[in-house]
Amino acid sequence: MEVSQQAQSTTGWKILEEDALHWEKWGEQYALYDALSGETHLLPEFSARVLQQLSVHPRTADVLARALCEGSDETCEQAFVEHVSQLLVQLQAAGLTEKVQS
Amino acid sequence: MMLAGLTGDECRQRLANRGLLLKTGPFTVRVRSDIEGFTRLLRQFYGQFPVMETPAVADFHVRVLRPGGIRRWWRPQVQFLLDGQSPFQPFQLSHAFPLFEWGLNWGIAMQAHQYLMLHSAAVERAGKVLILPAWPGCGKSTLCAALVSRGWRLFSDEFGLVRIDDGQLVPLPRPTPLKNKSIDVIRDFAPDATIGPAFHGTRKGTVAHLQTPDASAAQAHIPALPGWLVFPRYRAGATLQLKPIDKPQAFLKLANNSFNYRLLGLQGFQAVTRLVRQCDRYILSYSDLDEAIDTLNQLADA
Repeated sequence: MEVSQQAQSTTGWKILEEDALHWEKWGEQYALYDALSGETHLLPEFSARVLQQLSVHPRTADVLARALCEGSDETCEQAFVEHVSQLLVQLQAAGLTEKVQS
Repeated sequence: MMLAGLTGDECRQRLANRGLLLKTGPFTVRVRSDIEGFTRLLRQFYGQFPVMETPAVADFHVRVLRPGGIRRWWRPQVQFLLDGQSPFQPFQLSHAFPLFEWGLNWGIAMQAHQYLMLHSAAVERAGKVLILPAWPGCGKSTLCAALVSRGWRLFSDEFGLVRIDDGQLVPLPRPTPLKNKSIDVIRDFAPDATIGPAFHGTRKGTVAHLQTPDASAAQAHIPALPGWLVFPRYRAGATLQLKPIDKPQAFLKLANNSFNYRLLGLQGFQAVTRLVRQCDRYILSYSDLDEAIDTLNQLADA
């Protein structure tokens, strides 16, 4: 099922402080140092791409999912949006993202 | 001048008065003590290390002394003071030398944050450093002692000191504390090695110190770039296995192994990621020292 406009959430997401994030890429894994919290994270490539998309500007999960689907032949299904939403919550728990009202 | 260049009386006088300024790797340690047994072992194990003339700035101010009170006569003890503070309970008097060694290690781990400090042995061959990060019980000291007895240069048995600005390893060669079974293992493996007296009943069991080779002490001022990260795992009866590990795994193990990764913040992250980029990375499972050393020699010579 494709994402409908009605399904879009008004809850936006942003990263806490782009300048505080320091990256090291190893193949499909990333080490990320967050200078704000002093925490280091090992992330799979997908999580890294989500954070890098958010570094452009805050987005809702729907818009973010569409951006991640760009360039792909596949349609952006609702299940994928849900997956992105869950990942954003996990990244929030890790102190890397926070909600903003759009 | 080297410590061995001082007579016994000169050494005792300095230790008893203004302090002996001993240079060990990048650090200058002002040592004061009036304990004869400690003085003798300090001269034996640090004889080939430089002593500085006063005035000189010391990184660590150490006193190894007998506490007062009735203990002075009844079950005499020894106390370690660093910068006037006593971080440990006193030891029995005859354990003054291992107390000094552990106390100085503690002081370095607490204070030397100009370096990324790894809890690791480090040895050098052909200009590159083999880093052996491990927590106690993995056979780090035994493997380090065996490598040094086969010609590798001792950087340190305890610390991988990584310079923040250029990523070079800095030598800190000091006596290697062998513990329990590893004392006889190294006696058999390297019959020519000089091993000091055994101290029984320490917190780590029986400890005896292996003398630093003269060549390692003489090159204590020469840093080198890291070449290999090998995480050793001694298991009795284990078949030797040198298993490559990927960079993320090595990064996690190294960051968790460091004394001060978190404290250094971004500098620590950058230092560890650089080490991971620079080095070939392995886990070494072994039980036979000869096999382990052959394997590491081949790694270095490849």
